[in-house]
Amino acid sequence: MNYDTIAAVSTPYGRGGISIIRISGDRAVEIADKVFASKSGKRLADAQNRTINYGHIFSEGNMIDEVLVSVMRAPRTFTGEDVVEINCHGGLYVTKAVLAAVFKAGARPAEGGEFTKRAFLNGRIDLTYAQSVMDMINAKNELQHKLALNHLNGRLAERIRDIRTQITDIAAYIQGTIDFPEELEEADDGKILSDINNVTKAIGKLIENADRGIIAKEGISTVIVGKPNVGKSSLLNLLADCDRAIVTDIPGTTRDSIEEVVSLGNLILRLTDTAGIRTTDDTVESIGVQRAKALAENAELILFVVDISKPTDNDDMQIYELVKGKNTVIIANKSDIAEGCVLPFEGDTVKLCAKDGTGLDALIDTVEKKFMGEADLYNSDTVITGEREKNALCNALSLLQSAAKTVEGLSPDMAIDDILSAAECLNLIDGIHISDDIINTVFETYCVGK
Amino acid sequence: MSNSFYMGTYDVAVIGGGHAGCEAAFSAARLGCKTIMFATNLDFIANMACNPCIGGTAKGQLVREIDALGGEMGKVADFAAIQSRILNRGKGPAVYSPRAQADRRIYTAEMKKRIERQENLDLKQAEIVDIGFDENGAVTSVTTHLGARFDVKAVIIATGTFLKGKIIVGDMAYSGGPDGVFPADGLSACLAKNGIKLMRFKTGTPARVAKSSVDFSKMEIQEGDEVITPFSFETTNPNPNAVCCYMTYTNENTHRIILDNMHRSPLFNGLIEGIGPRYCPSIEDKIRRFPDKERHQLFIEPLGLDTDEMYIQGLSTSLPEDVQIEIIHSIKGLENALVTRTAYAIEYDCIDSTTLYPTLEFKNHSGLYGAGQFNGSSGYEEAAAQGLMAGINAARKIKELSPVIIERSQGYIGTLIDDLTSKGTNEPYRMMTSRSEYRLLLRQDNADLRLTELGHEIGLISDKRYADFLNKKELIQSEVDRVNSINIAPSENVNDILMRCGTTPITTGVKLAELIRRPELDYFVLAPIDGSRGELPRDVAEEVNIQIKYEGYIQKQEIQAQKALKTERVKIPSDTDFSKIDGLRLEARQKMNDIKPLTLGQASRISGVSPADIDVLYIYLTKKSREEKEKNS
Repeated sequence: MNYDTIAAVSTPYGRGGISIIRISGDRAVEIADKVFASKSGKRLADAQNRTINYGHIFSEGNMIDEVLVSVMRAPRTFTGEDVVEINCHGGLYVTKAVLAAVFKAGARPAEGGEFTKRAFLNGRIDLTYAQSVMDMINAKNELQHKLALNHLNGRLAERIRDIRTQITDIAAYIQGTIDFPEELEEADDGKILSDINNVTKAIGKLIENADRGIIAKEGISTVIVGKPNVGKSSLLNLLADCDRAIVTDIPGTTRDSIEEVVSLGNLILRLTDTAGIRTTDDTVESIGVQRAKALAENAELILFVVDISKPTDNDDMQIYELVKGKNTVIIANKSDIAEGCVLPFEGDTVKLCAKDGTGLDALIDTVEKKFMGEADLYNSDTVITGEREKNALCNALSLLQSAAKTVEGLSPDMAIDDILSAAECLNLIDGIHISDDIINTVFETYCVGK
Repeated sequence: MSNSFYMGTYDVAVIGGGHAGCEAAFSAARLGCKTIMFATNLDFIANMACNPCIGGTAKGQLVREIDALGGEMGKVADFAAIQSRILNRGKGPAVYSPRAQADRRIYTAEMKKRIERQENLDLKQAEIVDIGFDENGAVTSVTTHLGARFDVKAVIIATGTFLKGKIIVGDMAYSGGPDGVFPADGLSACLAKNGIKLMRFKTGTPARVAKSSVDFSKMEIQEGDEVITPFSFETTNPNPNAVCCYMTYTNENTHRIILDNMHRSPLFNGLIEGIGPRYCPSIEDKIRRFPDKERHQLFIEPLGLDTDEMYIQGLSTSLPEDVQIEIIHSIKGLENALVTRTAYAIEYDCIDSTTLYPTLEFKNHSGLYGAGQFNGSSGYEEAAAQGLMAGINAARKIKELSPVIIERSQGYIGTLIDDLTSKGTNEPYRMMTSRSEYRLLLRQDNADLRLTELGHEIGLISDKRYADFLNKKELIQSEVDRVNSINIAPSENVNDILMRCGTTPITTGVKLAELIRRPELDYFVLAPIDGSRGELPRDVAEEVNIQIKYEGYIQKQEIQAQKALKTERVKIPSDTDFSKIDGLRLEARQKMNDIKPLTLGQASRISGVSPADIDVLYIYLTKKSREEKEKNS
């Protein structure tokens, strides 16, 4: 029915070595082609049905991951529509980055159970499933309602309502001048543009905070790099020790865990590739520059450990070259031995003694500033913490920007569609519908009528 | 009725000779049904009981659509037009709206003449007081106040504001129809007896004043357009502008008089029970709700060429007559105005429009249709649009043809009828561009492109007109194709013109279509650099300009319309019992059982139905149709 193209991660988040992102709908292949470049140079549109294609996912020119992409064309697919599945590396960050790229290319986040629903509607699932699909949708409806209620605390809901009102007011202002041209003065482009600008600013702020909110909720993917024997495992132990209660090894992989969740102040760090550190740091085996490179590519935060009790050498320099300019904190370890030593590196630097924890507060401070800026998320309750909500805000923002362009280039009445669509994006966040709002607002705000 | 007598047999009876009744009668008769139209006074056929104008925002589009489908309003309006304007000229083409002042008497006389000359159509002055139904609730007859019974297959009720009409002026109230004619008091009881729930709506009209008593030198003049766009696609020589309208304003003094007399308004003394429209507020209402507004704009419009009377748009009121006079005399230019007709509010019986199918047939009464204000709408154009569709569908039912329902993306007519029958209305419903989600597609310029084909298919558009239409369509398409293929090379001459229009010069070859899309440019100003352009009729050239210039925006809505059509095309069997569908929320079950939606799209627009309900319903329908297929195979 809604034959738009949808996408979601169809494997559990943050587990296993591989994540699968499923895209389904008329435009699945077209959208995948926008983010995927195959090794062979062949487009997915030209790929044979039921093939697996090797290549890379790009977003705005940056390579995100090395992937395998399967192309399955309608009707013989799970949903009965064109389906593309991207097999990417399993880290939270990579998975999300790939999914975000797919959304940006035109897919809509799938609702819970939506793949199954389509499968039924397209005749791919047996009749007996129909009832369970209905139950599922119903449950989803209830759940979403509950979630919306739980998730949207008073002030955030109010904020969203407020923004929506600002948007519908703009639409009503323009609308009034169209339907009552004899009673109301021509719409003032300058006023409309400045109103739109105010709203986009407000939405922009929410988005900015959303990034932080999501980070606060889901953690920062972090790697620890450095040449052997500089204290990487001591740092890991220090971070893991500082709050035992919330250290959670990913189940089932205890010793070889690829991800460990630790807290750092108010933040959560998802330390990736910790197994490598635990097993290799104390041996002669080197983590290797290549390995550091791969890790640094995908991390949101890099903790670069340097032993300042020894002179900086070529190995340190090589790793520094890889991580500089990225979101890196340089950890000058063993500060207890070598105080007052200056490193030849630029960037946020924290002096730390990983063994006894001296300097940990400074590290916490530095990382928090890096990710949260000056925002006081913990005392603010107008923070978006979900990707879905953030996506809706981003869409609203870009629609308003396009509306502003139309107002400038053509005329305000041509911009109403985009303005109303922007308001509808917000409905996805709090489930409120606006259909008759505009007409009501026109009558409430303006004195019109013969 | 005990002393009734048989007087004849017809296919279709139309009750009411207003804007809805006339279109209904024309379309039924033209589609081969023997039709009779009843009006309580044959001198008031298609009477403009309120403002003397046709069209306006969204309404102008409606008239163009009626014309494209073969209706009469556009042609008669062109015939009676005495001043024409396109509203919203300064905005995008989607909201250009034609509007014309019409001579009321000419309009009425012309419409009556056309009805009298229409084959298959009889006209009778009578009040219908009874409709006969068979045991299944299907209509069988209508009976006049004098007892004459006509046996019929279909009845279209288009009673406007006449049903139990009540006129209210201040603390005076009496039974009456609009413009001093009799009300129709008989039919309401019959409808109620047959289970049709009636509601009370209210509307009003301002005073008329004598032109000779108005000082126009104190007012602003408002003239018509230089180039006139007629309503009908058939009109080639529109009437030139013969009159002017004038603008004046209320002032502090006016507002003080109103505030001092507010207690005498029937809104406060309980005389008015009906619900009035928000877009047609009385002046006392405006002043109460917008106390900060220093003045309210008024338009003085002539009622016609041969009359001295003028209409004061913006001054609707139900205050007592003495207060009205005081108000009028407080206004600049009207200090000495002679009031020829006093403003009044009128209350009338109407139905809950959700008791109708989108064909405008009653769900519980086969063969009974409603149109116009009786259905809860307001406005001549809204009425005519419904009359046309009710007439078409009554005739098609008699001829055993499938009904015609216009999609929302196809026309304002579709939007209007869908809103009325799916959502219902709690005030007299007026068409506005904001009611349509497809405003860019539903333009006045392309009404013929959208609907002539359908009009021809239905049988209301002649072969000759259809051939002309195809010719125009072809001209537009080939010109659009030509413009899309032309490249403009940079040259001194070209860049001269571009710079004169305030846009940046070109350095490499550019598509002509691209240049047209620049904000500063359009199809017309680029004529000098478009050497291969041929002579084209103005309407064709305008259409080409719009199609090219706004292509991106139009396409966006077309994609949405296509998407929506997918749900519009999912039919819901008429015997569906929504209360038995597991997973539907209780509220949705009740609402759907009330509205009985015919398509999934219609169901989705019922208030109180959520997207999840629609999912559940869709799955239920899919499941059911698959089960049936399996049973049959």
